[in-house]
Amino acid sequence: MTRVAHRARLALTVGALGATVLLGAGGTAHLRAGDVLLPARSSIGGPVPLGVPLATSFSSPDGTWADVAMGRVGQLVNTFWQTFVLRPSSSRWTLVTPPGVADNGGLVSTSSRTGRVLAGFVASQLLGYSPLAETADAGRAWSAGLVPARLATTPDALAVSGHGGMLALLGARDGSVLASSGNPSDWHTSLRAGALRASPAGRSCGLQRLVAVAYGPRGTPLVGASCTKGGRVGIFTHTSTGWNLVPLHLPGGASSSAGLLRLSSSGGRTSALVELDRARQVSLVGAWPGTSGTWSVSTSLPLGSGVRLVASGTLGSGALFVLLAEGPGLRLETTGPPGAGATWQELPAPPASTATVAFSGTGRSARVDALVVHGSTLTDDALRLRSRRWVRSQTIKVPITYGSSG
Amino acid sequence: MPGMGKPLELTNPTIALAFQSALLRQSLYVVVVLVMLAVAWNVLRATQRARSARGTDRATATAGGQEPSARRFLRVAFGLLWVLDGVLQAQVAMPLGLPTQVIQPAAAASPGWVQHLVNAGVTIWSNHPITAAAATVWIQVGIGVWLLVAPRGGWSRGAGLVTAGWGVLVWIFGEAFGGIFAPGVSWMFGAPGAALLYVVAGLAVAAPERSYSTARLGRWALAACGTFFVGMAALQAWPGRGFWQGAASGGHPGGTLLTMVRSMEATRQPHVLVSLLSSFASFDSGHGVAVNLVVVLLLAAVGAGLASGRRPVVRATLAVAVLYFLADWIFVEDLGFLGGVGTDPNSMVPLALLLVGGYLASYSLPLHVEEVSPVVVPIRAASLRERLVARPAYAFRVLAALGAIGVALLGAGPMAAASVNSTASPILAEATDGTPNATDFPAPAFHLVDQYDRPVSLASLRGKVAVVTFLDPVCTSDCPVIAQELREADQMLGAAGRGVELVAIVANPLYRSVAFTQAFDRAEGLTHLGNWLYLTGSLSSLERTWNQYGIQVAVEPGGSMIAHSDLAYVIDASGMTRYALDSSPGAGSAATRSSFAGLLTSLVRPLIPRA
Repeated sequence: MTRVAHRARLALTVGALGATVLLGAGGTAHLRAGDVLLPARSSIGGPVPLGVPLATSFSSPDGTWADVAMGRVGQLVNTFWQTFVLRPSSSRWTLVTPPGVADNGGLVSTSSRTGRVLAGFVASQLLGYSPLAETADAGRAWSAGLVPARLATTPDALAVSGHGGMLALLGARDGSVLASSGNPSDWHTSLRAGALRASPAGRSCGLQRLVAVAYGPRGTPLVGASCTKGGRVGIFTHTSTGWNLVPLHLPGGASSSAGLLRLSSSGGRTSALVELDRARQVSLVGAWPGTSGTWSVSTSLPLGSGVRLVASGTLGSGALFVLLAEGPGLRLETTGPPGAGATWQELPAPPASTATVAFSGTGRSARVDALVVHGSTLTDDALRLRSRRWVRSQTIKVPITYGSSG
Repeated sequence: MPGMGKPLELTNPTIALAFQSALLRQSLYVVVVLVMLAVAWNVLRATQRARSARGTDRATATAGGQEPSARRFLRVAFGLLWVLDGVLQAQVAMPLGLPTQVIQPAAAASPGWVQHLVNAGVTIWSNHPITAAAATVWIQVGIGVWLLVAPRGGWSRGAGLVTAGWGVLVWIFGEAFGGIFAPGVSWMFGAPGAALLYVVAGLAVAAPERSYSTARLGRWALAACGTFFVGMAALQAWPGRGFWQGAASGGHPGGTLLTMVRSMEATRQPHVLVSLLSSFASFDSGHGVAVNLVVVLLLAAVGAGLASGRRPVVRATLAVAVLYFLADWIFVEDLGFLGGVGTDPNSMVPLALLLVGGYLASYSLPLHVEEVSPVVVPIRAASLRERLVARPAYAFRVLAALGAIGVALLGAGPMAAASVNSTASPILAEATDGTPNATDFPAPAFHLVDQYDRPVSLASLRGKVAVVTFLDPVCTSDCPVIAQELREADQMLGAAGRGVELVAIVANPLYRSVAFTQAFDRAEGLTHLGNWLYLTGSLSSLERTWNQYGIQVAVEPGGSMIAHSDLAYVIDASGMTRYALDSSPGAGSAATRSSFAGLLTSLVRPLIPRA
């Protein structure tokens, strides 16, 4: 072989090796970025968001309501959300899921203080808007309505006031709010996120996006939002001067980052659930509006790392509950009666696979139910307050048609 | 709506039967071509014998010498491979299976621009699965036969060029560039792509024969292969790519090789092969580091040996390499052609053939290879006709090559036509819904209101063709797809659409008000369609209409959609029902939507009254 050919072969070999090294490095970098599970980080610079599941329960004059996911949860087209009601005159839960629409995307329910219950279907797959269902007789009969766009996937995407007014939060990129004066098929745009973001109130909290709608004690519209500025909770109320940020004094003040998880007015009682991050310690705080416009705040509920929110909701008094997944078990906490300094109380851990907990009655007739889901079977375990044990009290088999949604 | 949303099975009977019918029909054309060639051959032979008898044959023995052994080896080997690949393309699952089971998975991890390219080819195939699958059979069989029957000269070099050209198309559109732009690329899994190796072989056959007169071509080829293997060894040894790992442990997922072998185990194949793969997977699971170490060292050794240029070393390396490739072909690539959608024996076989060819080109030379020359004509070069008449062997090769080209064109022609036809074949709609039923009865009357709350009756549609279907305005799956199919059919009709009314009737007893039909129209972009009507009415009116048109509508509990029949009717301008179709959209892919729209258009167009 000639010297030239030898050198050429050597150059070819070195060049191929170099290209391979670059290829391997590039491929490795690509793999590494995709392979490593980075911890979730809030884009707003606030606390790591727990995420707000749709599973919930609340009280209305017509009973206690619960929304849970059933079927093959994890497969969108085979997850079917169900609505159950515990009517005042009954000790047993009744399946009252509004018929006529596939609810694989989720159900969002709320009620007014007069007992009117509004359920919204979170649009899924190819449906481009959100049908509604409304009942005034505890789910015995439903009438149809619609929101002409997709509802946001949050348990507080709908609100209904005692005067018949309704609010709907849309699931566009940063949300906008529609309002209706009572006809569930007739809506108009009430608020755009961009307008609120540009307002003085929005700028004061560093508003990012809208996350909830509700009504205040006097029927004034409330909008919840995520904020970037420390110590600020994005609850806005509508007054004659426009939208204003509610003054809510959190533990830790400006050194805490706050994220609004819930803002609910179901049953006519307004409440908020806030996640705080102070020096990497995450905690939950409840808040309630007073008649004078000031908000009172509960004590903090510290959370360990790796905690996941399973369900949240309200009691008839307006107190809050959270169902948390901590490691292999569940943890149930409730606030005391709404008011400044309301303390959190831990209840006995509900059974595994509890989808949500529901509180009904008062005084001696008070009861706590853990609604446990296994596929298409729901079991109700009631808490015996004296023995602090959960006892099976009811089983409901839900007729789910798997594969019916595509 | 049973089967709603499900894609067609790979062996769908309608598609399979249509594919087999197409191949059989085209085989008859091949027979005709062969018969014509046989006739031409007989004529030529008769002419040759007559010339010999008259003593006017001036042919002399060719002074061409022998075809170089390396070239002959590559030509015959890859010719046989192409024929095999063509036969594999005739598997019944190919029309539906190739894009979804082979091409798209191959491109899944590649960058967006690669996927965009690949999807362009997938779209053509998905729209015309029968045409594309049959075309590929004949193109590859034709190329293979062409390589085999044309040993030398321009005809043979042409076969090499066509091999390279078709190989490039397959490498890009069928193999996503052999996956070289995706992470996890490895020689073990077929990098740089089997089709690229066919391209190399094709270029080798297309090269002038004088290229084989020295050992340079072979030496360079072996050196390039050696460099490639050394590079692949470095890549295989690179950390962080999952190859130094066996079973999953400590939160880390299983190794890349183990994952691949496990996926191969799931392929439909003889049990003995499954056992082999399972045994290897078990071994790799516990000895991932050792396995990869052996792979890396062997690759590096093979590369270094091939690049050494020393004959004894190269020969020994070649033997080791062939055994090594054979092991990978069995234990990792799982032979490549099993499972019902295997298109070729993957990369190890052509790679081994190229190495052997390179060795022959380096060390098995008739050192003086003369170009094939035609009939020696002392005074002037013979014309093609004279050569055909004077040399029987040459004439046979030319006719055989022409036949092979004809076979390849039998596929290339329809494939080219399909690539410019954006409307999918109606066969997809028929495979999903069956053949439309021809009917002949008066369409039942209805009195409803449209999306603007205006009264509409069947009688008011007289004079136009009406396509009547039943849609749920709050449906999450098939109804929006059916609506888009009707919209696409209207676009296909063009100006003729003025003679057609597309009529949907609400199929939901609970969500049926005009507000819902309007919301559906807005969501589906139907508000500007001038010949679109979405009708509703009182519950009793709707129920009566459903019953008369044979539509089942049922309220399902537990959060389900309304269950209703997916039927469509084509009603002519005089009010007679002419066709009843199952309108279930199946998977609702772009191809099936286009197919249904095309089928509907073909039924409607002849019924439109002439102005």
